[in-house]
Amino acid sequence: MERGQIAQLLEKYWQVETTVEEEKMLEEYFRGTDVPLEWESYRDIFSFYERERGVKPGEGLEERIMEVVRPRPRLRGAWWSAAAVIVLGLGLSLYQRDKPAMKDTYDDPQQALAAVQKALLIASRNMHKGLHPLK
Amino acid sequence: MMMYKKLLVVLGLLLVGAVSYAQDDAIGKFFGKYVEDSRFSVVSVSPKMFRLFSKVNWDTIPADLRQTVSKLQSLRIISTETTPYVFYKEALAKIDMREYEELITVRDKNDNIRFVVKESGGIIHELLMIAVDKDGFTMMSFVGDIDLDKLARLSASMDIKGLEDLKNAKRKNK
Amino acid sequence: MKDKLYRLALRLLLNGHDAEDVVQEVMIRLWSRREEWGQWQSLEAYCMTAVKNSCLDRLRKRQLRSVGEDGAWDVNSHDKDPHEKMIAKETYMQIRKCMDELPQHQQMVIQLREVEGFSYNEIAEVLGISLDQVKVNLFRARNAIKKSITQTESSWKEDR
Repeated sequence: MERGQIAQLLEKYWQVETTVEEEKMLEEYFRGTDVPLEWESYRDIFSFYERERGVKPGEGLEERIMEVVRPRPRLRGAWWSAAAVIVLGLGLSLYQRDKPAMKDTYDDPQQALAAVQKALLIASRNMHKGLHPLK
Repeated sequence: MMMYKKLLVVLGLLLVGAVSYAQDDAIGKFFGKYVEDSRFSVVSVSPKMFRLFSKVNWDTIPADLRQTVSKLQSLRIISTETTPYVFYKEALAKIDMREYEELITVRDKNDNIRFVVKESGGIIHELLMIAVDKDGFTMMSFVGDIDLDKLARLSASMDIKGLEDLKNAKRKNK
Repeated sequence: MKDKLYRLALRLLLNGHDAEDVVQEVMIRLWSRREEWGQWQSLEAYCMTAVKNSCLDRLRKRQLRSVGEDGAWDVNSHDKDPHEKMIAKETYMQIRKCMDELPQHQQMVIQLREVEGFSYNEIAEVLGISLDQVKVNLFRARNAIKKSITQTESSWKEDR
């Protein structure tokens, strides 16, 4: 992207008029190497946010949560768990609603399954090559 | 009991960012703009379609394959014959290695193949294959709960005929 | 999702341990109310709001405590997590310091927008404020950070 465009985007950025996409473009630009000296400090700002995005909780957290939610024996019952699965499915589909769905290549599950099978075999064969190069 | 496992897997997915349910495989994340690009051919099998597999006749499918498929959620492949090495480089540069871990690299005079995985809590949630040779560039992403050991063994148990079929299939896809 | 929740909590609490506690608490509460999930518009927004509320609650308690203990609690004492150690550059420290000193709403808006890439609508929903307030807060925060960093840089140049 050209410098003039970036200058314009930056101006919009400080005025809080940029879209999320434009902000991504800015971030992308400042990730590059040919940032002029006068914008050096802006580069630091954007790369700071990028770093922040990499912050993750400690490894034990997930386990601790799973420990608590793991079902207790007394709750075990087909009816209850079936209900929970349905509710979960509902919750998830609501949660996912605003994300664009993957467009299916096949309408027929049988065909799709055949494609999956093929893909798995190709991947497997290539993995095999890496694991046993002499064969 | 199976139900519970399912429930836990779903919750686990939520915890790790769940997004594997939607667009967020590596292809969607880093190569999304090429999915609609006419230079690329694309194969997608969505989580919705994977759920429909329960209605399909599985009799002809070997047991080990069946197991592997049942734990997958989505598959996406994109490939192109245009400037394969350029796209290969782009792929390597774009994939965020804080998220993905390099697993296997195969390099011989014809192929250049890399496998990277996204893992958390000891479970592999996505396996991405990036392959290039002078004829083309391919990215293949499997999302789900992936057992690498099983996957690697699939081809070992395959007979010669299977291999031949694959070769033909590959050619036809191009 | 868990990571986003953690980052928001860390931003507000400035302490990795407490931030993990909050995320754990929220996720477990979420689990215990799973029957209601279907009624919620967005699970993520719900969780983010819950994290926000829980953090603000904790901060209020901290404040009370620090009054009682004669300022024993130093809000600026960061836990040095591994990530923190990586940031050696002075400018990063400068930006972080500036962010820590921003008013709470500005901190959260910056976190949700710049780090997590939320839309204005999503931010408004999570924080329970109007779209205009989101923009005003973001405007002030962005410019505060810009000011702080350009000032440091010029003083650094003068020193030379």
